[in-house]
Amino acid sequence: MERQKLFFKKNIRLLFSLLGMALVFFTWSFLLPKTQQAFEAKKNQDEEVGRLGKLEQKLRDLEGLNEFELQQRTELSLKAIPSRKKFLEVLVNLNKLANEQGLLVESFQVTPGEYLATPAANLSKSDKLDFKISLSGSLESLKNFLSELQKTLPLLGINKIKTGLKEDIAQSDLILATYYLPLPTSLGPLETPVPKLTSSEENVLAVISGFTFSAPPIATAAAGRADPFSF
Amino acid sequence: MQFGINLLPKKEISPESETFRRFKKILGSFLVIYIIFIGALVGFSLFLSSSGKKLLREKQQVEAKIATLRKKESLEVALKERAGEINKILQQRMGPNQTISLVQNLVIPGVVLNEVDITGGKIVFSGEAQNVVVLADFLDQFKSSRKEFSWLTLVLLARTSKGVYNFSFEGQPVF
Repeated sequence: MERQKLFFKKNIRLLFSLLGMALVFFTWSFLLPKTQQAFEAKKNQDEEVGRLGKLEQKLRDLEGLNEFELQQRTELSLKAIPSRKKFLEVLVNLNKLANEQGLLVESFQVTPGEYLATPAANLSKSDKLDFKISLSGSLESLKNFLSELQKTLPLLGINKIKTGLKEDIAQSDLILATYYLPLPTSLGPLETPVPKLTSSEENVLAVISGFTFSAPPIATAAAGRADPFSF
Repeated sequence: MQFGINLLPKKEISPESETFRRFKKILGSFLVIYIIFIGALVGFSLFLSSSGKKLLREKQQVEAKIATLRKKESLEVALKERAGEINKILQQRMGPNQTISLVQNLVIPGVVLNEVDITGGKIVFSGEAQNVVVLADFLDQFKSSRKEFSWLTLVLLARTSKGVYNFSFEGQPVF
């Protein structure tokens, strides 16, 4: 014990130096990295708390939506702007509308383009298809036709009207546009907030809910015999 | 007079020892603070670990609930996209029947419209007036219709050999 005390007293400075070096080594190799890790972990956790807040807000927004009402409104919007080119339905509707207003459809022209477009085509925004249609009838009938056209679904744009008038008969060439917009293929990351409709968008949906939608023509089953000579 | 004589050996305190003693005190204080710091760091790491696990559990629960509402989310996203486009389309659509009515209302007896062309909100209409008096009355109509047009230009005015006046107007109606 005495020897140890003597040894300690003789080499105290050396021992303290060694302790100091050990402390420096311990601080450099362990303590500083651990401190840094702890602060980074805290920072990451704060970000995760923020992310959790956004997810909880999204969950609240989704739970607040009425699925049935949402389904109805989405179907209405699909009637207004279909997800695919529906030029046949549009042509049938135009013909029906013209006949109702006492107008004669003299000709029409449309270039549908790619008929079997894949969903992966670059159609992230709405696109349109132009129709050219020639009508003849009275000017009043034409006005009524245009008025009714603007209250039907799918939405049609009227790009050009050229009307020649001769003895109360209007010979009109119209260039109309029908729109289509593919459905979204991806909803994005889970943290993406739920989009909310603006007041003008709500108003627009209320306006088009009063429009007339003409259902597409239903193909009827062919009648008659497969073999006309069989009895 | 008596003097006290201390016969005990006197321990001499050297200045060097005094400095070393101070150094030892400082070092001791530093070590205590050091150990407290390590303890706080360990405690903080343990706290972060447990709160991290709790956070992860909560996040997984919320994500699972959101996954069950994916259908609602897809409907809302589709609706929002379309509502925006519908809004744009309705704003771009001109009022052709109102435009035609506007021009029709300007026609007075003796004036005949031959052609009406509406493109991109702009209207070009042409016709003929029987005589100069009818023409003057017709042109007077436009003075009272300034509010209906943002601008209106008489592009052509010509008299035929039969005394009929052909005219052509170009303008932008306001709705």
